[in-house]
Amino acid sequence: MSEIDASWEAVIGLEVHVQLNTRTKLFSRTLNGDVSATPNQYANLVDLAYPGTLPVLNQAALTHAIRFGTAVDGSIARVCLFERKHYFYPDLPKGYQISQYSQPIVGSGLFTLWFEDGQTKAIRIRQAHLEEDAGKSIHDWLPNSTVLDFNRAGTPLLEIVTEPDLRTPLEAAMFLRQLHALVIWLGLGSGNLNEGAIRCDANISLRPQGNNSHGTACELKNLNSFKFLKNALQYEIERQVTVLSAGATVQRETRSYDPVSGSTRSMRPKEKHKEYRYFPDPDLPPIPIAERTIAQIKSSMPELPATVRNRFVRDFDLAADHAYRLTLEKPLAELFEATAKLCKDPQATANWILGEVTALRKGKQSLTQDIAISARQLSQLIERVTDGTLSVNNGKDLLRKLWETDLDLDQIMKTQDMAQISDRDQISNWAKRVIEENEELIPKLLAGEEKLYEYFIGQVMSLSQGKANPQLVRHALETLVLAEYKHNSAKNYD
Amino acid sequence: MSDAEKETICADLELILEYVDQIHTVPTDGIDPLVHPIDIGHLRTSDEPETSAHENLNQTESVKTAEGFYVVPKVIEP
Amino acid sequence: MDPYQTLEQLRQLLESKQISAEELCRYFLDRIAQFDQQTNCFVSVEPEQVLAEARGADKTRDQGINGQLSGIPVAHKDNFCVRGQRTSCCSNLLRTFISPYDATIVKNISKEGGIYFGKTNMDEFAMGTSNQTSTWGPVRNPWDLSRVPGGSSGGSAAAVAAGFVPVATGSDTGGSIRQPASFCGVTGFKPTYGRLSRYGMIAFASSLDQAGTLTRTAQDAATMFRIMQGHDPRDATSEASWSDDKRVSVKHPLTIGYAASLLNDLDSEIVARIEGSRETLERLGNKFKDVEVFDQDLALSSYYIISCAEASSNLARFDGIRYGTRTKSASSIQELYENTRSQGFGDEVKRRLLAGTYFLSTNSPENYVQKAQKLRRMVYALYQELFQKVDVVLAPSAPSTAFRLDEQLDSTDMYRQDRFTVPVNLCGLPAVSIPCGLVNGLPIGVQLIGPQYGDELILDVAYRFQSETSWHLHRPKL
Repeated sequence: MSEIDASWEAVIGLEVHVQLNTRTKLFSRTLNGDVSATPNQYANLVDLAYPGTLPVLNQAALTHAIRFGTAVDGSIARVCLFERKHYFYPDLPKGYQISQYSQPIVGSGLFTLWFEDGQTKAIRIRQAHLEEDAGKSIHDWLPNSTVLDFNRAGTPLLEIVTEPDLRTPLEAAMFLRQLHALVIWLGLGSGNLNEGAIRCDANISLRPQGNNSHGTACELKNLNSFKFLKNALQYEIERQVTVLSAGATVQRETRSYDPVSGSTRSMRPKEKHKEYRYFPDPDLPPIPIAERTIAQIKSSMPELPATVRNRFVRDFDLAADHAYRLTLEKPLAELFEATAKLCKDPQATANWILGEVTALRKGKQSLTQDIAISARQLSQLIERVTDGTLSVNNGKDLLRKLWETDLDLDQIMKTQDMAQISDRDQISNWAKRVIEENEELIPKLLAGEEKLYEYFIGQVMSLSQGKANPQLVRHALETLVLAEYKHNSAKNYD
Repeated sequence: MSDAEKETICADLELILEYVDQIHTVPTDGIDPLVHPIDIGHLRTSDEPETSAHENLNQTESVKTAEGFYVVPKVIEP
Repeated sequence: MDPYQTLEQLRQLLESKQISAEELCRYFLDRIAQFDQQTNCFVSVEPEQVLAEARGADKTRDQGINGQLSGIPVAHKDNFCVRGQRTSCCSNLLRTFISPYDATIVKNISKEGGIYFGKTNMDEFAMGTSNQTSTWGPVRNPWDLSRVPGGSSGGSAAAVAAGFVPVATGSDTGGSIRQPASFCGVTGFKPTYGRLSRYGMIAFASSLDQAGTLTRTAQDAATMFRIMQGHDPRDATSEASWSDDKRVSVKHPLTIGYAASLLNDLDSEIVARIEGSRETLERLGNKFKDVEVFDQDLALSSYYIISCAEASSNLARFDGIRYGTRTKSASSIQELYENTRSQGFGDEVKRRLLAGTYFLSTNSPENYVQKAQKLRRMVYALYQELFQKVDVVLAPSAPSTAFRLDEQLDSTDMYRQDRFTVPVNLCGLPAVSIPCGLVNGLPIGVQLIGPQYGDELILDVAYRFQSETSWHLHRPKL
């Protein structure tokens, strides 16, 4: 908001739809979430709302919702009640969506937003409720028709609604990123943004800085990446500032974001109370949720990212941003912890994981991409590099090889002849040879042209076929050059 | 619906509303609405897929399909 | 061959091989072919399919495999899905709908060897009390062809009364089994909500709908009930298997509740028949106790609001996109909805859908549905209290005998036909209507209402009543 009039403050709330990764749908026993399916392959009689069919709740979806609620310290409803939300749209087979309205399964909770510098901010979760997804309408497949695919119809969704506690586009994007990470951490969903497994709408209004009033909010639809969310909000703030600064008023409306132009445009005015004719679904009598069930779910919760993050800072003395990045994904955090314990070098472990390991996983789409190296392998590798048996570059090569094969670390080192040469005499001999061959450059070196050292080191490395320990090489060179200098000085005084 | 049809139905509806409006005379403070006649609702199922052969569901002539999709007149996106 | 035999009698005929299933079915098919043009009970019968199934039953009998209904014809009301058969709910909108699956109760019946005999006529989407709103034309009462059979299970009641089938399924949302049973002189049983699966029964009002039967005798109703009942994992409102202990055990004699106030505005002849059945039950050793029931018009209003609200929601799925008859004239999606639904639904259905939509909308001056549900709670509480004092309740089934097709009843008068039956649906209670006499040559029935899970109890009382009386044996002349 740097160029924008700093007298305005943005008030942002998010509504995030998370597709749950249960095997079957929310109310039918059809396979859920197979994106490679042919049209309507996974749409059974219940999903297509055939006459006479009835919904039966999938227990796993309810458990997922309670797990999320527990993670954000939300209140869990003691009765699970479903209501019908009515509207006509061709991809909504029943003419209503089974959702939760008066009693969301998760009530008010808190989400601790982390910043890379270790600061935190509490974002209130207003509620999270279960509902079924609609089918897909495809408008550009046939010229004058819309075609419908109901494979997605009935996929369980958890709709998470925040209070308007976010203040900047960056905060909103970070919230979505961390929520996304939590969803995957808890195993609730694939989180695949490209496939719509997490979909985000944002409500945004502006108010004068320091004022607690609420301005008129616009709803921005379908901001399905961290970047789109941030950019759309940024654009919207600028737009609203322009409107308000001109003394005009912001219209209450729903807007869509065009990632190509980077702008938002009005879709329709937002009605204050849309008539959905909610009423309790008579096909789904309320399900009581026993204290025992909630207690069981609580006791089966994994350690949460925020807890792990704090522990990493405390126990391993990691920098806040390292702890943050290591705890965005559970496998990463687990690899770090196990490796750090084995090699007893948390900082080196963090560097390797956030550097090389992360680089190796990049380019692959999904964040849940498997990590193809064990803590034992990584810790051995770090130890070898630390004790100088392995050069950093060879270490990187080795990691790649370990990633791609099932071979043992020592085995690879042996067959690839990767072990680093740390024999000081051998290195000293090579250094002497390089100095002799480049005698004319010594004065320059002595005159303080430090950059020339790199050239000398490179020469020694090439003599050693890349296996000499570079630190020992530099040391040997420096020692020899220093000796030369002393020798020369002595001569001058003669 | 034709206008005549609408008129008859509206007249009927008015009669019906007049009849049912008597419920508003009954005091019901403190009474919980009864949504279901019986106190069950413990039923939920495990997350096991059902393996049933895919039925040929597009049986009637009036249902329009194309390559597995259901087809409707173009929906103009709002 | 006597077409008016009970399930037990038919079973014996088949078992002793006095008749084959094929012969039995052919006999009933012939009877339908001969007389149903007059009554219009059936909306679909496929004789070749029926006979093929019957031959199959004969074959399995020869192999010694026998279901309880093996070879016995059973007709289904047209709102039960039968795989491969047209299931239209007697609506223009579903005229072409062939169900790809069997309703659970249909499956349960065929598992016991029952022969699927065809679909019976009904009021469109079960909305009606005279069977005049069917897209396939009205049903005529076999006792008097100028009269209605009652509704909405009019086709099923009339088919059993006419001796077309020994048993037919029905559905009862506000009296749709019991009122036609009364009009047609047959036994109509509506079980406790949840004891029969609703899966595959096309919904009218989910919290009120319950499947049931139209039979000759209470004993047949009990046989069918045992076969059809049970927990269904596809229906979240179906009785859970662990509720066995809730069953009210059968005993005799009983204390029977009797609300004299209900008889106030009834025809004296009808009152006399109901008083007569009271005497019969007393003669059997039962004691009577005067009870008060909930205001009928208030209960009826509550019922009307809830049933219309649920119907407007349940019927929202009929858009002609995935099944059913889609309008031929739709250039936009809006027209597709409007034309499909306005061409597909009849007037009575439209009326109720409009009313239901209004009741659910927050724009309506008061929250109708919630208010109605509060009244429903009051009715429920009253019956709970009542069943602390009495074992069962005796009440009229319908306020009149069958009325004439050309009689003009306005909407509210038509709805008031249900005033004795709707409290049972509001509370999910079991009730059975049994014939208790004739008035001017037309049958009239009386209801036995039980507490929840008192299904077996009321059927036992009805059985004892029928052992003592012969009203259920009277037959119309076709």
